[in-house]
This record gives sequence, C-alpha cells and structure tokens, in this order.
Amino acid sequence: MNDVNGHMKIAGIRTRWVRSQQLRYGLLSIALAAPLALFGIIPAIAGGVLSLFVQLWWHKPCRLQEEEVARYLNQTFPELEDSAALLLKPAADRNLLETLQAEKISPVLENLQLPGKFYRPLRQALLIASFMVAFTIGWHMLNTYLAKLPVTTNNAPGPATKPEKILPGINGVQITLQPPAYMRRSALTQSAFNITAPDSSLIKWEIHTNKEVQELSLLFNDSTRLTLQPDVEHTTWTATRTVRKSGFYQVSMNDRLSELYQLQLVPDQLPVIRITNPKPFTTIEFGQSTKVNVQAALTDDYGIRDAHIALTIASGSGEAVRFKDQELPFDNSFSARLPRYQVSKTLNLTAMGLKPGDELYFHIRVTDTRRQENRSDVYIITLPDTAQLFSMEGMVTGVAFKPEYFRSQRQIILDAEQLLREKDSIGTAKFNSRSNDLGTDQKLLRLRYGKFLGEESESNVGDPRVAAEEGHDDHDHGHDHHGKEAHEGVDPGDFGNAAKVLDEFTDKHDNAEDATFFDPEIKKQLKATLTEMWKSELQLRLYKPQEALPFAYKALRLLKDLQQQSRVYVAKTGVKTTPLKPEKRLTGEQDKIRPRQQKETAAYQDQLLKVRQALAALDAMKAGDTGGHAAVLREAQQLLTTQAAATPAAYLPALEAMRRIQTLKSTEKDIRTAQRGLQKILTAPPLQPQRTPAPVSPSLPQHYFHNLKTGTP
Amino acid sequence: MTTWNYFLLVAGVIVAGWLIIQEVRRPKKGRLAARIVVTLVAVACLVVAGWPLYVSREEAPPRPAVKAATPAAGIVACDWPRRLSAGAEWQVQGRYRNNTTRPVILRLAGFDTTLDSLVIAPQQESSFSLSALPLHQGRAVYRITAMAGKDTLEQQPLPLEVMPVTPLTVLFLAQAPDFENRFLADWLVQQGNAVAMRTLVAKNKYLLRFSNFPQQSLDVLTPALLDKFDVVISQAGAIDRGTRARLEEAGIGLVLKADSAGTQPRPLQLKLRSGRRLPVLYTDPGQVLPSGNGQLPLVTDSLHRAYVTVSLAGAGKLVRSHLFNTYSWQLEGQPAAYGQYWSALLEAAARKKATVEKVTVHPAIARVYQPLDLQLETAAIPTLQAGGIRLSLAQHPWLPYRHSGTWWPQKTGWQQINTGTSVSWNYIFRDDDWKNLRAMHPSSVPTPLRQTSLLPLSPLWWLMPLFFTLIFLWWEKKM
Repeated sequence: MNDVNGHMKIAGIRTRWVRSQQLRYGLLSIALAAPLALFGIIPAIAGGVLSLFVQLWWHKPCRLQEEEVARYLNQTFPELEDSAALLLKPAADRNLLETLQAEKISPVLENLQLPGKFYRPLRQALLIASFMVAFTIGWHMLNTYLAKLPVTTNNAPGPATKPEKILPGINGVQITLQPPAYMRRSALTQSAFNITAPDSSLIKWEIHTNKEVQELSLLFNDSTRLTLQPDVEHTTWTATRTVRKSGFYQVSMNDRLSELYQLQLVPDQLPVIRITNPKPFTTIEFGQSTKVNVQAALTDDYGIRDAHIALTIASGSGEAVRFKDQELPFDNSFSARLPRYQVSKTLNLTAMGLKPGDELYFHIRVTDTRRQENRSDVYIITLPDTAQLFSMEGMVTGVAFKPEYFRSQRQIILDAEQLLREKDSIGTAKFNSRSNDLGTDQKLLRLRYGKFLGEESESNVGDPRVAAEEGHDDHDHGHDHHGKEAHEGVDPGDFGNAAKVLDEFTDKHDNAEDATFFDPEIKKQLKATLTEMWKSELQLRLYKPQEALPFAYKALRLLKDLQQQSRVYVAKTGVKTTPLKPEKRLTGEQDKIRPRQQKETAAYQDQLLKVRQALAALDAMKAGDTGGHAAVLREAQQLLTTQAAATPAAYLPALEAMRRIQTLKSTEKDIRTAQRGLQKILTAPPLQPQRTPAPVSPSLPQHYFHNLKTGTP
Repeated sequence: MTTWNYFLLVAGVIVAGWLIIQEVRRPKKGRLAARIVVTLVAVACLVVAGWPLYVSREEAPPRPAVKAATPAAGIVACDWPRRLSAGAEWQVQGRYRNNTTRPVILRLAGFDTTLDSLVIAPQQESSFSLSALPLHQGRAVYRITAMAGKDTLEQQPLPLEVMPVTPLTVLFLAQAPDFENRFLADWLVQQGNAVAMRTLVAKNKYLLRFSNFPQQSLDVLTPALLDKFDVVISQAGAIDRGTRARLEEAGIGLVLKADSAGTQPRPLQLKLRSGRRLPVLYTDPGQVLPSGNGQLPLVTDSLHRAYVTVSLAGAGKLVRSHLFNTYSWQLEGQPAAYGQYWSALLEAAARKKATVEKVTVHPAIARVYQPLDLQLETAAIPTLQAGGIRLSLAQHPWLPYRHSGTWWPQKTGWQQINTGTSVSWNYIFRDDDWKNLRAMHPSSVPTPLRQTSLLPLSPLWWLMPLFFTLIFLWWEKKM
C-alpha cells in the first residue's frame, strides 16, 4: 500500500513541476508579448504564442522522467536516504533489503513538504511578467498623456477669422483662382475678397451688385487700377489679372472705397536635393572598384523638369592642374514631371579617364517646372596617387623614423606586383609558394609593429637565434637591439643562473612598458595599420596576391601618415646665419615708414526710429493728447504700407487702422490694432553703453574730491 | 549640495548595499527583515551625522512700537526705472501678497502685448521681477496686471520714458595692432560712437584711426585732448603714469588690459555682474584678478574668480581686464553677448555725463490734487514751471545750488516740467492708482524683520540611534 502511495506522491511532484514549468513559460511569453502589444494586438499574440511554443518545444517539460524526480528528491532531502528510486520499482522486483528500505522511507515521503526553492523559477517568471506588464501599461499611459497635452497654438486673433466688410451694394463676389498651367492644379473658386493663391495665378473677379452701377474697379497697392467689365444689366462685373506679387487691394464702386483686402501669394519653392550615396568625401583605394553609384532623392512642391549631374575632373598637381567639365543626364526620365524622383547614376571613373592622383568633383543640378534651378553641394571623389607613397622624400633627410619597416611594406607590394606579372611563366606551385613567403614577410612585419603596441610577440620574431634556426634571412637584423644583446650576452658565468634561464625560456606576455611608447592617437593608427596587414597576409596566404594589394596599399598609406605625424625634427638644412652685430640693433631707418591714417564717419541711424516714436505717439493719443503727431504717424504709415505689401495677412488690419487714425475718425480699438501692427515691425534696439549722469556741477562730492586732492579745506 | 555631501551619499549607499547583501547571504535567516531595517537605520544615522545639518531658530522679534494697519493684499511694493536709454532692459520689481486661494498671474504688458509674466502661489507673499525690452521711443504707459483665472484683480500703470542714446567718445591706445581693439572699435563706430585709436607700429610711429572724430595729432596726450574722451582703452604698457594721473584728475574712465593672456587657455563659462551668462570663452584661469578691497568684480567665472574688475581711481574709474579674445563672440555669431559684455564694461568705466540741472520729485508716486515736492539743482538762476504753473522756489540754507518748491498737479497723465533750459516730463497718477502702495506707506515705520539664525545641529543626536541599532545587531548575533 505504501509503495503505491510513494509512487503516486512522486508522480504528483512530477505533475506539479511540469505544471509549474508550463505556467512559467506562459508567464515568460506574456512578458514578451506585453511590450509587443504597444505595436498592436497581432504582433503581441503572434509573439506570445510563438515564444510559448518555442519554449515548450525546446525544454519539453512533459518529458520529465519520474527517475529524475526521484533523483531530485534524493538530492534535496537527505532523510530519504538516497532511496526514493526504490519506490518506483515494482514491489515484486525488489529484494528483501530494498523492501525494508522502501517501507522505511515511505512515511518520510508521505510527510514531505516541498521547499520554497521548488517554485523559485515560477516566482521569477511571475516577477518578470508583472514588471513587463506594468512597464507596458506605464509606457502606454505616458504616451497617451503626452498625446493629450494641448498643443500650444498661436492664440493671437488671426485676421482671417474676422468677417470681411463688403461695400453696401455688392451682393456677392465669386473669385476664381487659376494656378499657372505648369502646376497642373485645378482652379479654385471662393466667395471672399481676401485671397491666398499660388504664385502667378490668374485671378478672375466676378462681382455681383444688387443694382445698376456706373463704375466698378479694383485698386491695387502699387496704385494700378483694374476696371471691371459690366454685363448688359450692369450688375455683374468681371475682370481678370495675373498676380505676380503679394499685396492688397480695394474695391472702388462709384468712387466709394471698400476696406483693404489681402492678396497673399504662396511662392513656388526651389527643388530640394538629398544625395544618399556617395559620401561628401570619398577616397577610392588602389585596387577597389572605380565605379561610383550616385543616388539622390529629388523633391519639389509641383514637379521636376530636369536634373543633371555636373562633373569636374581635376588632373595633375601643383601648377599643372587641369580641369575638365562634363555634364551627364540621369538614367531616369523626367517626362512625367513628378514632384518626387529617386535618381541614380553610375559613374565609371576609369572610362571617364581618371588616373590615380586625380579628383572628381560633382554636383547635381535640378530644374523644376517653373524653371527654377537649384544645385546640391559639391561632392568629391579622390583616387590617391600610389606613386607618391614610394617616394623617399622626407625619409633620407633629417632623422629617419625607423625607415626599414616602411621599406619592408613597400617591398612586399613590389614583390607581390612582380609575382603577379610572372604568374603565367612560373607555374602554380611556385606561384603559391612565393605568395606564401610574401605572407610570411607580411606577418613578420606585422609582429614587429605589434611590438610597439605592447603586443605579445609569438614565435620569437626578431630573435636572431630563432631566425638562424629557421634559416630565415632577417633583413632587419641590425635594428633589433634586444636580439643583439641576447646574442652577445652568452657568458659562461651565467650557467645555472636561474633568472637568466627563466628570462630566456618563459613567455613574457604583453609588455606594459612597450605600450607606453606612443600616444593614444598614434597607437590607434598603428592598430589600424596592423588590421590592414592582417588582411593582406590572409590574402597572400590564400595565394591571392591581387586581392592582397588593396590592403597592402592601405597599410602603406597609413604607415606613411604615421611617419609624417610622428616627425618631430625639422629636416636638416645647411644654413649658416651671419653673427649679429649688437651695436646695429634697433638703429634701422624708419623715416620711410608712414603708417596709414584711417578716417571715417559712420552716422548711425535707427531705421525704425519713426515707428518707435509713432508707438509712443499712439499711446499719447490713447490718453487723449491728439496734437502734433501727424508727421511721425505719416512716416510710420509709409513703413507699414511697404510691410503690408509684402505680407498683407499680418499688417493689413494695422494699416487700415492707421488710415482711420490719420483721418481722425479713429476709436481706441483702432489705436490698439495699429500699435499691434507697429510692434510686429519693430525689433529691440541694439544695446549701447551709456554714461550715467553726474551730479550737477558744483556738487558736494566734487568739492570733497577737490579738497581731498589739494589738502586744503 | 557640496562634493562632501555627494561623497557621503554615495558612500552610504555603497555601504548599505554591501551590508544588505551580507545580511541576505547570512545562513541564519531569522529576523532578516528586522536586521535589514536596523542596518539601514544605522547607515542612515551615520550619513546624517556627517551631513552638515542646520536648524533655523527664530529669535523673538522686538515688539513693534506701533501696530501696523491691516496688511493690504495685491501689489504691496513696486518700483521701476522711470527713464531708460534705448536698447536697455527694463525691470519692474516689487512684492505681491496673495491672500486668495487661487494662484495669481502677474503680467507686464505694453501696447496690449504681454511682455513678461509670473505666477504667485496662493496664500503667499513673494517678490517679483519682470523684465522687458521696450520697443518704443518717447513716453508710454505700460501696465502691470494681476489676474486670478479670468478675473482681473488689479491693474496699475507703469509710466516709462525711453531716451535716445548719446554716443560715447573712446580713445584706444595700443602697443600693437590686434583683433580685440579692431572689433571693438568697429562695433562702437557702427553704433555711432566716436573712436580715436593710436597703435604703435614702429618706434614713435603710430597707426591712427579716427571714426566720427576730427583728425588730429595723438602723439602727445594733452589734458585738453584727453578731455574730449569719455573712456580710454589701453594696454598696460601703452599708457604712461602722467596720462593716467590726468585721467584720474578729469574723471575719465580707463579700461586697462593686461599685457599677457596666459598660456593655458581653457573654455570658461563667464558671468556678468548682472547675473547674465556669457558664452564660453577660451581664457587662462590662472590669470585671475584680485577682487575685494575696493575692487568690484565685473566678470566672474563659475568659481567666482574675477576676470574683469572695476575700482575707483581718483575721480574716475579703473577697469582691469584679463580677457583678450572677446571678439571671438562676434565671429561665433553672438553679437548680443558681445554687446552686453562691452556695454557693461564701458558703462562701468565711462565718465559721468555732466548735467547742468536736475529735477527730483517726491513722492515717487505723484497723485493728482496732492502736493508734490520738486527739487531743482542748478548753478544758474532757478526758474521752474510745472504743468504750466510757475513755482516759487526756496533755496536750501546750506547747499546754495539746491532749490525746492511745491506743486499741486491738476491733471493726470504726462505733465511737463520746464526749467529755464530744459524740459522734463513727470507722470501724474490718478487718485486710485497704486492704492496698496499708499496703504503700505504709513506702516513703513521700521517693521522688525524676523530674525532667524541657523545653528549647526550636533551629530550626537544621530549617534544615539546609531548606538541603539548597533546594540540590537550585536544582541541579535549573540542570541
């Protein structure tokens, strides 16, 4: 009976474990699904279900064997005396001892309390899931809160909201705005006098009057008059005009003038060019592909008419530099005149005749349908001249900075090129072996440079003994002082000197002192050089000298830069200066020196002074003082008129108010409107240093100071 | 918070974290929560003991001799410059007492445009400072409005007269041409100031520049020549002792630039005396000037080291400067900062403007139908007309140039005050303007300030709980 109970207990524990694991995977899936819910319900469900299945498939919790459970119980509870597995055995199979033991532990198993540790994975999963859910909800709430925040809008009462005042006698107006043909927009019709239209629109006014009118015309701000044509009944008047400048206008009916109406034009913007490829400065290393793909996005508000790529090739150097201009069309066709194009063009530099050392400048020119042209920044593509790298200039003069190392890299390049030339004549085996040798050279060079960075030097490179053993001809022999000393330092007295022996045969790891020879900037470049050498060596070892060349060249160029950078000494020059004669110093004739006398007058005039004064004058008028401001107000009104012509929407109400003020038919509201308009024109005056006023002339402090100086009371 | 406080805080957090980890890892888990709490308390006590804490102790104020009237609500104090030169910033400062339960918005407006605003918390009295750049030229009335929600609690007029600027005349003396002088001269000339510059290029040979200034010889700086200038900007080596003595005698300001700019420039965040921050400038922080002892710092860095100081020198002012590359602000496209810097310097140095006469008015808030004391200082024959009425003046018994009279204004608004030679304007307020200010005036008899003193708290207060916690931990371990 006990056996059955024990077995069932173990099976129960197993089920509990499996359930808890399944629950745990479910919780983890919820944890994953929660942040995904921010992107939508479908990714959340898909992600959750997918992760649940993946976890179940991977861990397979249902496959837990009961023997595993028994082992776990044995490990966790010492009181089971390592015998839980006995209960799983059928009672018939047990021998006597096993039966006794099973009976002994059955009650223990019966009273077993599973430890808290048993549910720890479940608790952790619960914690993670609740955190992720809370995080997601918090994030969501924050987002919705931010979205709900009121957008600050310009709450100034816009003139557009104000109802227009129409002359009595006019029944209505129908204004048709026909944008220019190139815009390919349909005409708009409106029944208000204030007009906002695309640039160069054809505007047709059709004014209906309720009774017969003798004369009806439009007065524009540039003092032109457009007379409207009547129909037979003299109640419908029409006129058309193409408007090319913003401004304002008035309707004049039988010599009665309406208020000012705005005429705002929306200009056609220039096309915009965004070059995505290549970068503004591109350098093409020797051996890389000389094809450059130029990609750009062109946008315009109405349509793009044409686009070109303008190239300038600069060849030669110094004074002998020559330029060649060229213009290429893009592969795209612009006949559709779309407002947005994605253009690309492949430039084959070799086909265009670019040689190493040459530079290519290009920019993109775009014309929109209004024939407005815009051009991009100039982009530069450089083909470096590798011949420069081989020049010995700067190395033979002055103090050389370890020139052998550089020569080695150059030698590798020369040898590789020689090998490529001889490829057909020497056979594959020889070719491969020479390529491999070059790889070995490259490796030695790399290790030597690695020393400067404090890198561990494998295979005792530079140690002449090792080199001799390998039969390798080390051509940089003389430069490795360490190796030299080691060679000379064979002293019979050292026999049995433990320190010396250790020193010779231990592997000294990265030497920190070596790592401090150079400053970090140089080290960084050195590291980059080593990387290039690695790549070069790899290609050489793979018997691909052709592929190795670009890396070798880059390494050489970096080394050259490094050499230039770390030069501290100026090149030796054989100049001998004449000795100074102290008695002649500072006795030069200076009578020919006639320093310049600069003289100028710059009258400062605040352009907006009249507007500033008008603002104060209006303030005085508000208080009831009306006299003596006419001149100031007139000048301010002129300025306001020019402003209103440019941006009628902003300044037109102020201009109207100013006009009423001038005719002394104003209300306080008009003054306020005019002041608002004038304030929009004004900017803060520039700050200037000012003197503080002193006390009136024979003042007490002055007496005091005077008497203090003279010492007399 | 000082570095010490941060250090304490970080050290406390680290120690607490380490101790808690130790507690959790301890095999004996009984009373774990209690131990953790006690450990935290112990660490907190230790940190607080090291923290310089102060208690404010209120000292009993001396009993006021006169019981003040019931305090008024609203704007209880306010002052602002009545006259301002164009381009300068205008500041309105005062105190507001908010007795309501709603926050009050104070709004400074000119010509129906809000220029600045500020919120006063409910049931609080606090000082306010509003500022604006006036756009007009001449006389105008700005308004300060207190709003609670949509209700206007109070609106008061702020009369302001913006005066046209008067140009300065500046003399530059330099030992060598440099960018600093050139940019400064260009900036000054652009604004209509007069500049004369003398730059040494060879022995006794000078490069001269005269902008808005008549051409003449600058080889010898005679007192008559120097008297034409308001400020002299010079390098220390370019000016001799005699010239400096003459400047001090005449009250002409001197901006003296040091000869060396130092060798280790670092980007520094500088600040003007007015509190305005300047853009970053490369300067050697080793080259600082001594301040205090009569030297007032004009430009300081974040560590309050002075780079420009001003001091009295005879009747004039002496500004010492260690900044040589302020023109870089112009090149960086920061002309506003450049203007502020040099305006502050030149204003501190410039000779005071000689005035022939001066009219002062008392009280500052002049009301209609209320007597107004006018005081005229002049060396000439005194005549005074206010609001079209000729006033009879009484001479001061000891100061013969000071005369005073009383005027009863009949009209509100801007009123003209005519002296024999000049015209000035004074604003007459209506009777109900600034009522709270008037209510405050009788009670302006010395209201004793509440004396509060800060006493450092003894760390013993924190050591006692620390001991208790340590005793608990020890006892718990022994149990």
